[in-house]
Amino acid sequence: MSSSLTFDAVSHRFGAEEVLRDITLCVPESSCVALLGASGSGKSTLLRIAAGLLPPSAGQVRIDGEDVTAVEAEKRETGLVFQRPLLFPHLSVVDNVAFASRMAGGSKAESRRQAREYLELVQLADYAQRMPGQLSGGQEQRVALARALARRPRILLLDEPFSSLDLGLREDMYELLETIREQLRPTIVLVTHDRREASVLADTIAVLEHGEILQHAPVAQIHHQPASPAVNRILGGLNEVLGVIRAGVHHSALGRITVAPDTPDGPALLMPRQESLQLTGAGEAPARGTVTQIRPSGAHTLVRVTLDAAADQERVDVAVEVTGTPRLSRGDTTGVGLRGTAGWVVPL
Amino acid sequence: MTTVTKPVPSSRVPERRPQPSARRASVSGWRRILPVVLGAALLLWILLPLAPVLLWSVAGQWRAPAPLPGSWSSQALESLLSPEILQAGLWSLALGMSVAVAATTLGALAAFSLHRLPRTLSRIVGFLLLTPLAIPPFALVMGANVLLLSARVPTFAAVLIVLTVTALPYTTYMFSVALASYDWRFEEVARTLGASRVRVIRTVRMALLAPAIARAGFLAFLVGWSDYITTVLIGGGQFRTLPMLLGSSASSTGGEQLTAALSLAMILPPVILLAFLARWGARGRISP
Ligand SMILES: Nc1ncnc2c1ncn2[C@@H]1O[C@H](COP(=O)(O)OP(=O)(O)OP(=O)(O)O)[C@@H](O)[C@H]1O
Ligand SMILES: [Mg+2]
Repeated sequence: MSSSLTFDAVSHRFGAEEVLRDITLCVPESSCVALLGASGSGKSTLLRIAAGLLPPSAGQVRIDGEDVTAVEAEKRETGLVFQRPLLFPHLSVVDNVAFASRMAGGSKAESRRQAREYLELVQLADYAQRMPGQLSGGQEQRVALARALARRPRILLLDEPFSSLDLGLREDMYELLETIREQLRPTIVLVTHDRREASVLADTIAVLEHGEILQHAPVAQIHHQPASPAVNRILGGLNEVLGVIRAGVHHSALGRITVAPDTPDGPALLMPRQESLQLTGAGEAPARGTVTQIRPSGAHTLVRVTLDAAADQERVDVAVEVTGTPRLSRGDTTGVGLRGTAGWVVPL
Repeated sequence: MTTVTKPVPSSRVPERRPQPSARRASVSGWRRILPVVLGAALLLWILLPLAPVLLWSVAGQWRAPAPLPGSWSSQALESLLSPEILQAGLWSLALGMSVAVAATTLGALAAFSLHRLPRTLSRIVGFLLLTPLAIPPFALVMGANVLLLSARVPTFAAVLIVLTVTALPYTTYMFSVALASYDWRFEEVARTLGASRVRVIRTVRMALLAPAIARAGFLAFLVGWSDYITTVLIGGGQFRTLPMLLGSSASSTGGEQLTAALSLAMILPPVILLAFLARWGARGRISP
């Protein structure tokens, strides 16, 4: 039931405001792409264009290579789930889920039978006869998911579907989505502003800012090899270390760090994630600094260090994520090093 | 000596019930009683004027200072079944239903158009739509009369048009209020589930706006059902409605019994309609 989805040079403007600029993005069959971006970056607009609810100002939407830009929403075979469940209040749970089948001309009995299968899938078969107001928020959202799936969509579009649920429920929904991916293998576009959610659920992440895709890459890669400081920040990276590349080595207050051999010489930003740095004894380390802040967050602690810089170097602050609680306090001197050998830089 | 506080097993933590002070109890008591008292007062306020009407409708003779009629008679109620009054009832019903259908439909369309306008413009037009309420009905009707007569509009249609204009502010307002909190994404979801634009209007929009439709329809029905001035001035006596019979009965001396019976005949249908709408709502078809 799944298909590939492609945006080809899609742009959109509301009046004079250009909301999407030249978006080109491919979502392969049965994969899950997360659209990650701040509020107002154009995520929902892109999703509405994919669903056929909004014609783009320019560009094409393709499903399995076929241009569907002019196909109406009701014929496009996409499923859409919003942040609010938006269950039809005048229909019972089972009739909500049966809605698509009814619209396709199915009989009431047959549509309901099918609907029950999808309610089974989201573990709400016992709630079939209830009215939407008699469910909890999490249950309503599961019904909304079942309703979209019952459409047998070629593409499943999720617009921040879990962001109004509390943390525990959200984890349950992640499990459920996992199950759905295993059983139905749908192609999913997930809009979210939560980078953890994107990382947990998606295969690849596309970072959207001011209507442009800054980078689209697999989850691990986009975390460790961000294409720009902006992407690094959006993915929660805290470190940008200015230095100079000479013969494939980055020189900075963090020491000499080997980078990709084809990196051109010149100034470059090294972007080691806080998880990729470690604290070491002050003596042995290539870089040393003073602890300026210690912020515990449960099982981890974030330690900020101001590195000692040579006269010709910029003063550099780095953040290091440590497991547990380090035996350090503010003002202590510590060594800082990179786990692994190679660093990731973006030339300036 | 040191005191050791033992941890209490959580299952045995005694429930702490705050002891309500006397004063708090009386406040919460008032909280409970006040709505009941107010509700009863409101009911009395509405029902009290009805008592003499009810009594008169079954009275034979009732002289002024007596608290109750001296004799009883069902004559007035029976006369409601006379062909003249039944005919008038049908005219009123026809007028009420036609105005309900016309003003509800137009009101919905007007509210939807208003909703699409830019906000300031929408405010201005919305305000203009309310102005018929401020114009004295006589002036409105006289003006309309001249126009409609010169256009040779049939009488019933002419009355219907003027009453629809009168009812339009109410219905438009009802729909505007409903649209202000209407979530258009319901319709977007329905589209992606395979419902065409036209089908969405029936299966989603009308269903979700059912409460507004019911309220607007009821108000518009009342405008047509209870109209007097327009029917008299524009209808010119070509058809007689219940309010006209009631008017002439009330202005003639004697015959309070018939006046009372006619009043009851005026009140009953809207009350039945309201009860029906309320039941419809209670069944879950309408969510508030
Ligand atoms: N119907 C519309 N008319 C005019 N401007 C719009 C409309 N819808 C969205 N916009 C504008 O387009 C921009 C992108 O909106 P969009 O809803 O796509 O953002 P988003 O990334 O989904 O944000 P959020 O995370 O807050 O949902 C915003 O600046 C918004 O003001
Ligand atoms: Mg959005």
